[in-house]
Amino acid sequence: MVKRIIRLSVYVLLGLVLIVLTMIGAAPARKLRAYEQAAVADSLFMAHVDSAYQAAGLGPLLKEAAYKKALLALAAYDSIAMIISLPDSTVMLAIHGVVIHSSRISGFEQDDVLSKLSPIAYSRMFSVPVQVTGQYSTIVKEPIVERQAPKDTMEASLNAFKPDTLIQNPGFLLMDMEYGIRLVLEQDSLDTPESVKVGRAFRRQLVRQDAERMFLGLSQGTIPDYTPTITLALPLDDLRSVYRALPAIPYVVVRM
Amino acid sequence: MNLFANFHLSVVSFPKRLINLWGSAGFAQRVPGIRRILLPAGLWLGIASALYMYPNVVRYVSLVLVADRGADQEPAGQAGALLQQEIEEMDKKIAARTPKSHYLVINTAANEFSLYKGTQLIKTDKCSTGSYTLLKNGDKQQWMFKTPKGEFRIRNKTRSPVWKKPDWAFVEEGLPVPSPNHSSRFEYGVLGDYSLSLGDGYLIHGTLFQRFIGLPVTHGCVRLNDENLELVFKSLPIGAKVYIY
Repeated sequence: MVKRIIRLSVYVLLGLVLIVLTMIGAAPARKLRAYEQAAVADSLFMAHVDSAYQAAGLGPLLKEAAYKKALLALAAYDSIAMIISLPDSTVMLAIHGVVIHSSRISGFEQDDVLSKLSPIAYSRMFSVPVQVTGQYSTIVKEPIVERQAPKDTMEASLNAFKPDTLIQNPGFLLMDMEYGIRLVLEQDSLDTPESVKVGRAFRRQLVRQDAERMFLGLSQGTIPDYTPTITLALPLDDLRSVYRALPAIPYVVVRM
Repeated sequence: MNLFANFHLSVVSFPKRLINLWGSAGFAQRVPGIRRILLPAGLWLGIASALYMYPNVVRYVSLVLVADRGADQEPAGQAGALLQQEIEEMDKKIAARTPKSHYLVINTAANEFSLYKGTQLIKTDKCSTGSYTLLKNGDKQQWMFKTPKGEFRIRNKTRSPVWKKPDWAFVEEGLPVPSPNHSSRFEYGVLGDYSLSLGDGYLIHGTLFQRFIGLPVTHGCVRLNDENLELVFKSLPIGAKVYIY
């Protein structure tokens, strides 16, 4: 009897594990479906959708058109914004439509959910600049060095012509964007023990965020929310330039 | 219960029997450790791997089922031609945004400048920008020495500029602040041969301390070496754009 109960419990547990794993596995597809449904439900956007969007085979051209529309829209903004072009492997900074910085992406990972978007959903999401809703970085945004004014010329002469400290942190940047998309920018070489350590801590934080979101969804008995992620690797100097140039709530144009 | 018993038989007992069969056949029979440790470990490892791969399989299958399959085919037809035309028109509008004449781009994080004429790069080299020093004079006053970011225009150009020292220059040197037009405020030759004004007191100018070019050491202005300053001064007319990031 006891053996049978144990055996039954094992099967129940195994069944639960399979259900949970199925829910986790189905989360990306659920997100993709949510994007598709949101596009169709957006009457303002759908009013401009013509037959071209429905025609099979126009996907690449529609994506290109969405990118150009987003660039034109970006030109109207006063602040510095970021442009990510995955087909060209470049990250750019632009202001008023003028590209002021361009950096080569050393490597990138693009989420399946984003690459499988239909032309309609893609155009709705990426034909306008996407707003960053929150960001975290290991790079100091403004490396402010605080100094008290010297009391006299003697004290001032001690600091005279001494260059300020150059604060150079390892570069790992996380941006949460509209539509629940996550953008991760990492330095492309882990050449110092500190960068390895900081990189590990940064990735642990991402895993923790994902796990928290997953458990929250599962505890509510629903398929957990999924965060499509684009990960880019850039040279550290470029990453620093890009991050420091961007305002607190920047806009990003993404081309996939 | 019969169904349960049959399931148990197929799921658990069958692999166990297979293991036993393989074990009794030869090598595993002679080495007891294999039967006791390696085989169960292998079985559990297999189960764990299957459980690990299972969500990925579900992910792949479900995404394929949900995704739109017509998206990546070759474009064709009149709709494609019209779209292509629309893209070309947008390309022209985007290209028109870039100034046709000379403009300057300054990277404050790398302390570098680039001088362009249209899309052509004329020169790129080191410069110095704001130090991000926050100078505090007790609780009364404070100044932040950083170079502003954004789009600017050259407001004014001056040869042999004279520097009218602001209050912070005296506070930083531990000197008493003189009256606004006191003679001690005017210094000659410290800004180099030329200066270009960006407004709000920010200048592009030269320096006596050229060894610090490339470091963030300024009070918010942009410092260039003598050669680059002359090139920039002669290239940029009043009204030319300067992009600082």
